[in-house]
Amino acid sequence: MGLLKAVMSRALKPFTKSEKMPLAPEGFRGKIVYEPEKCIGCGLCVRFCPSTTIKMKPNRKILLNLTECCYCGTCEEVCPTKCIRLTREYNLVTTNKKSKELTVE
Amino acid sequence: MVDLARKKSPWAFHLCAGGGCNGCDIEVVAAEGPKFDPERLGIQFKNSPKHADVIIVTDAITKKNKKAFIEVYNQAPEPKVVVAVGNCAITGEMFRGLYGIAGTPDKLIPVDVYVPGCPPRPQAIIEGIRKAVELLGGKREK
Repeated sequence: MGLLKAVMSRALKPFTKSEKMPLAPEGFRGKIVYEPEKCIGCGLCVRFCPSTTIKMKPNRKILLNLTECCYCGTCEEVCPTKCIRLTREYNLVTTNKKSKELTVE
Repeated sequence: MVDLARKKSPWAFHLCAGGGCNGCDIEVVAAEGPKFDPERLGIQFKNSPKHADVIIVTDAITKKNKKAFIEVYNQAPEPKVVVAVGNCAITGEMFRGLYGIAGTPDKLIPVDVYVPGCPPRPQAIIEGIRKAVELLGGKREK
């Protein structure tokens, strides 16, 4: 029986090919999403960010980097128009750390 | 034959560079357990750098740890891949520019895969190791 399984394992494909990514629980603080139309440029999130990653652009909108963010959720709590939100997505694996997908503006 | 073993059963080693909160180290240890199972993909975690195909690096590098870090990296035999886990290993996050930090790991050693997050979930860490193992197959052929 053991020999049969060993031979069959060479012929059949493996069962798990990659990690399964289940949805994170409710209230999980994941990737940040920003809507510039609702932003009024008050600057509260820039003042309260603990890792000082949120910066103000000259046109009063913001710019932040997902590899410098600590995902604390303070910017979502203090925003008066709720234009910056933390979603439930957590898979951000990449081979290029300067890619455009890792900056949010 | 050896390439098949490297692809199907990579051995991983966890190296902490010292400048961070150690939250990512705890998530890597959680990724080794039975709940988020890395053995389904053939990954085994070992205790010595001389047995490593994949090196998992967390935290930013401190001034005290710089020399030891390079020596441990050099003890791992070629070919090898490096996975940088957590935001502190990518840019130094909250600790960038502070007095004890001597830089990020990718100033001293070549890094192949980055896993952002603070801390990243164990499923994302295992996905990063899986991507690095695909790159490992390409390195041997060179």
